[in-house]
Amino acid sequence: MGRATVFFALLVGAALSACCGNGSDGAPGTIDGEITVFAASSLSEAFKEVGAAFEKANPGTEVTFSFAASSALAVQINEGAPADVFASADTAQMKNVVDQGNAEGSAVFTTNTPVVVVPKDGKAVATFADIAKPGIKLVLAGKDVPIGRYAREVLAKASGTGGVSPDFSDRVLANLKSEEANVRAVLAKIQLGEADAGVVYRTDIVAAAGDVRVIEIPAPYNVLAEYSIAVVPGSPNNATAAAFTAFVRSADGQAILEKYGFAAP
Amino acid sequence: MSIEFDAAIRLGGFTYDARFEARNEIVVLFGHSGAGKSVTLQAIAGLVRPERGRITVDGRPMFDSAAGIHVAPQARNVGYVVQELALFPHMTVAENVAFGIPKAIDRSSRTAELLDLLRIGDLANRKPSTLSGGQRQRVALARALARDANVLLLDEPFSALDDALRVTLRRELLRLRAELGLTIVFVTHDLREAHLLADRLAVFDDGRILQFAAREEVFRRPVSRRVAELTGTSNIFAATVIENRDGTAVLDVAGARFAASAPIAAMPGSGIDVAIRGERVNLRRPGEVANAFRAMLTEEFAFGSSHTLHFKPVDTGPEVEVEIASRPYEVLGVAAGQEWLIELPASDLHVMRRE
Amino acid sequence: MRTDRTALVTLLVLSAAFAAFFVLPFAGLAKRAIEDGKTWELARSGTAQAALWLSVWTSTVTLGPDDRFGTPVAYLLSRARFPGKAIVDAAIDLPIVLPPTVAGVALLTAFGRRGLVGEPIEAWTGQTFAFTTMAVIMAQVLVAAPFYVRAARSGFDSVDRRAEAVAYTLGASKTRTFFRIVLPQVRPAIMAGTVLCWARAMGELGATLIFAGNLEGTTQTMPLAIISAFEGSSLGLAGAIALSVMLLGVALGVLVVFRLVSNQETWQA
Repeated sequence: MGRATVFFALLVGAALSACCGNGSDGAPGTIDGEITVFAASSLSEAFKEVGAAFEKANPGTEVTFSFAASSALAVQINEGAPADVFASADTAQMKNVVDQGNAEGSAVFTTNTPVVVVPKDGKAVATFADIAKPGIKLVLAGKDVPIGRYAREVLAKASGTGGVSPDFSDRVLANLKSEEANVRAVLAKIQLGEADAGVVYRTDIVAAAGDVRVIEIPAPYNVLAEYSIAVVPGSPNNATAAAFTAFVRSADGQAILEKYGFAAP
Repeated sequence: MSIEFDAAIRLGGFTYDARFEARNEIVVLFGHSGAGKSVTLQAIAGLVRPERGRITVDGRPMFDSAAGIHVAPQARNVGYVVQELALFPHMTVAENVAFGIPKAIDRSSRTAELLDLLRIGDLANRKPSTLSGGQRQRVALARALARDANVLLLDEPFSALDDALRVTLRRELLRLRAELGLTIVFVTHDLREAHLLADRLAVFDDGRILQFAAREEVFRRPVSRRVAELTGTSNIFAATVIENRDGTAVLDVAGARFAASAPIAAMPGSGIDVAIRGERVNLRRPGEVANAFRAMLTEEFAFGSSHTLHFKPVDTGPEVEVEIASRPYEVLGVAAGQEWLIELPASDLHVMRRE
Repeated sequence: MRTDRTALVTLLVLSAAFAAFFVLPFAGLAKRAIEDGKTWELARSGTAQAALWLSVWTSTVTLGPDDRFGTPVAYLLSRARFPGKAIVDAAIDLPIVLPPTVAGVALLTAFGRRGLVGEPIEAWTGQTFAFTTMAVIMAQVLVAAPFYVRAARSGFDSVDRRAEAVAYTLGASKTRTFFRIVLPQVRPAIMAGTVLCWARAMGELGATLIFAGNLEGTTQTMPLAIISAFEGSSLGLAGAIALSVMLLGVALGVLVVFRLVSNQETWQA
């Protein structure tokens, strides 16, 4: 065997060991080892703290997160991405994954409420009704991203009720300048002042405090965002995954979520 | 048809200062690469602007630092063939040649005329990349003549060609000059080429012209040891003047006495340099010969048409290199270990001021 | 003899492994697209058609400024000597090595509503760039320009300077020399640069997403439509695959046609 052949063999060996490494999982039934949690963008800060608390409470565990739009995560899990836990910002994307048999035992674990955000010094939008004014630059998340769907639900609920004109939703959507991939991208556009208004979760404001102002959506039109969590079956570290979901729903987990503005289900 | 050239140029750390002229003749600029030959052509063509000086073509000033004249290269009307030719690769031969023909002239007939002149009419529609070295050379010459230039500047045009082709093309160049009455400034570092083509020769060294004179003058009467070296004089000796009278000097060279033609006023007792080209040295059988000394043949090199022989003196006299044509070499029956009389003819023994 | 064979086998095995790594993802894409019965239908959907059309025309428009301004820059970089040239040289390559998201953020800081020039422009004209097709083109011009400038510059570098000098002595003005002598020789390089530039503009995602936003018909180019579909828009994963195959087909078509055309030119030359 020539030197180059040896080199090639080594190369292949290295590639195989790199792609299939799986060394750190705990034995079945014990709570330790590594788990990967796919969680909605809006959970970023809160879940990082929850993860740290969980690791502290369960020595030997290690939680890594992948934050993105719930819709994107749902696609990835259905494509076989190696998730152990899925935390969705709505029940629809969770259903998507459950229906395909890729999540089980889903339960609502916290709630959030959409709010309108405007740049701190933005003058174009002062009230909720202002987002329908012509010329306003509005950004929303895409219609299949939970917060994007919630925003459209709010607009539909508002249209034609309590003195709001029936074409309110149409007029607002005529101001739509961009459909962002996730809630954090919407928030960034507002922080930068590129857009005049956007709809994000109340909890997101914590991350952008100082850059943006909140305009409450009147309670009669608002919706409640229900976050659900589930274990991905076939996870090699099922016990730890289940323990994590339980921890999220425990008093300790809920206390952390509340700190970030989430509300109990 | 004339060029008068006098210019000083600064290029980086290199200073250049030279003057010469050319009148209905071929002036060869000869020297090592980097001696300032190419920049001379660029200054004549207008591609380089000297710091100081005056350059005229046919009496018309092209550059004059005192008068603030610097004519653009486009308006100088000199034919310029650069090293490696730089033919326009995307154009056919005919298009290359036609490029410089003024609008007022019928381009196609003038192109055909030039192609015929250079005997490349059959190549009109070929691209340069498909041509041989000699063919490209002819295209470059035709292109340089497109504006009816009377002055042709040639920068080492034949350096990339093999020997046989060079011979042909040099002959071709001489024909062109005769037919068109061209004034040509020709740059080369090839001694044989310089000798063949030059009417007058300018020897460049380090940005200066060491000697500018008729070809034979430069070859036979170099003004200095450096010029003698550059022009391939193999025998250059240090000598002492014993007496100097009526243009003839008696010299002491390595203990032997020689008479020599002495164009300079050298005082008896002073040190001078003396040169004689290898082909000017005579080989004589032992006997009574003036201006000769006894020497042994120590080395010989055959070059086909000629032989180069090295001699060491038997008692006094210098070491000498002799060039001898093959035929006399055979007739004389030269062989190693033989003793000969080496004659340095007084008329060919050239005295130079020591630097 | 034996060593020769070993070397040859090694060469073939390594090449095959490398080729497989490149071919497999596209094979997977094609397989999915064929198996998924909706591909053709999705490719003809309004979203897909709008995105393809937007991508094609904005990428083509991108060539205008990149060629017009990129050519003089390439010429200067090839010919001029000035202090700090090495820095300018490196700076022009920056968009190649930086993630496009950096380009997007940089564009925001310059042309955003609070940007260096974006703010005064909005104050004077009321015009903003974000969320407009103009912003898409600006993002593409920025990220694609280096590909053009690089190619054109190497083209200028390869032109024999002495040919230009000869042209001057033949009475040609600088302008005539540039257009008749320099440019024709640089043309293949310029063509290659143009195609690279176009292809890069077609693939542009990060800077556009950040600077221009994502709205069907206005700023949603093919790559944005693909990422949106992948992240769960109504087109779904099947849509992402269908759009990817469309983009792949168009890009491949353009590159192949260019190769054929330029090969023919070389052959004629």
